[in-house]
Amino acid sequence: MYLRPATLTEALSARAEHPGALVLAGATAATPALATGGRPPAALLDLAGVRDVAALDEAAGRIRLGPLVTAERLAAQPTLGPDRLPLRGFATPAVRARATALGNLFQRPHDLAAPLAALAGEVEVAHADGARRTVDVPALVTVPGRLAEAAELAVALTVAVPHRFAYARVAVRPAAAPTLAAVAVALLDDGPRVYIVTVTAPVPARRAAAERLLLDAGAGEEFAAAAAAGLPADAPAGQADPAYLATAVRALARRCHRRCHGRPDHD
Amino acid sequence: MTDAIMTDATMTTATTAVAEPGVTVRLEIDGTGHALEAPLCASLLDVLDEAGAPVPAGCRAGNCGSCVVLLDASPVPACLVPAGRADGAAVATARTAADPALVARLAAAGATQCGYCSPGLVVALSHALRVAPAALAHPDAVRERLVGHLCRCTGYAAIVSAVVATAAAMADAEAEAGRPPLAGTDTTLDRP
Repeated sequence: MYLRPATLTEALSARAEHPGALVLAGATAATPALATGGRPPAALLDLAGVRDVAALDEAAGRIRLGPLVTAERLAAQPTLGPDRLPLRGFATPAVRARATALGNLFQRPHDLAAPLAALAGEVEVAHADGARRTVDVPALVTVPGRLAEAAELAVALTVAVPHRFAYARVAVRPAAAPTLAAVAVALLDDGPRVYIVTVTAPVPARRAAAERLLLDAGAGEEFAAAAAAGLPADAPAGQADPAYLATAVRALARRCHRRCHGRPDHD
Repeated sequence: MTDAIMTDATMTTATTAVAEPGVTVRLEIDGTGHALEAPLCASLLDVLDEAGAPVPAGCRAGNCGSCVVLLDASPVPACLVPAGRADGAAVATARTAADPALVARLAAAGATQCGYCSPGLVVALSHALRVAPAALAHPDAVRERLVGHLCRCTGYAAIVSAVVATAAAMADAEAEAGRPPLAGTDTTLDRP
């Protein structure tokens, strides 16, 4: 059954009535997965026709995105700063134009998790009975923290408007390849936030020691070392070399620190 | 196999393998109406394939660009669109969405060899040229636009030069006609 709700209320009702339904937003990850095998879900719940789910609003220091706001649209938001959210390496242009920022958090890999965590991202979750709750980005992308109740629906993503923001990633190719390592830093009203991810540790990890060094313009090297501290020293065979990932995180952190202080990536 | 549902006498029909549950998709392909029954999990690419549209299937994961079509005037890899979402839509393949001047230049430059990637990239580049030709005046901008279009034959150089030449000719034609500047005249690349 292909469900096409026209309102959020209808979508929540459909979610409750069809607990086995797969929710479609951008559908750029779901469609290939569905079409190339596996057991089909009992129903598809397509949010594309729901009113107001593609809205992007900014108020009281936060940007609120409906579940159909694309990654590309968030990336172009001027209040994210001069670099905005650099997405050149994220998927292909055709995918970026359709993939949603919120939907990416439900995928593997979830390439936007680190920058959205640094921006104090929270997902608003609605229940068919009218209840609402929020889940922060690292909790959402952690498997046990995912939406467990079938009658729930992620209805919005909110992120803070940063005073400064920088995000850098490395992948096996400069474009259309998943992240090997990434660093995202933001200076928010309540202070700095520094998050890192690697291909072997994809849940955004906060780096408090690095946050204490973010505002010190002369502490770039110490900041980079603090960002890379605690990374696993070894990895199972076949996974990325931990020494390489640590080097990459240090380099990316150094770059983010420089950008936060208005300096070019290299002297 | 089951027969397609005939919902309109003016529509053509195709026969599609249907696994229950299914979805009915009524859409226009290059100006002709179609009504098809497709499996629930089918993509628009599957539907186009059943309808006999000239859209090659490549990676089926949105990475190669061979199946790019215009869906309600926007370019998209057909493999990324759920079949049910295409219900009521208008699809244009390379048959109707290709810019003839671009096709001629690609052919003259030897920019197609096996030709498998050509329909998708012609659709995408023709759309880009229509929307903002000046934005494709620089080779780097064209290469950026070609991310997501995999060509294993040409090495891209001939494709890039053909697109740049087409963009320049379109800009010259606009200038000669004395029209106001086209949209997208900023040719600087966004390099985050």
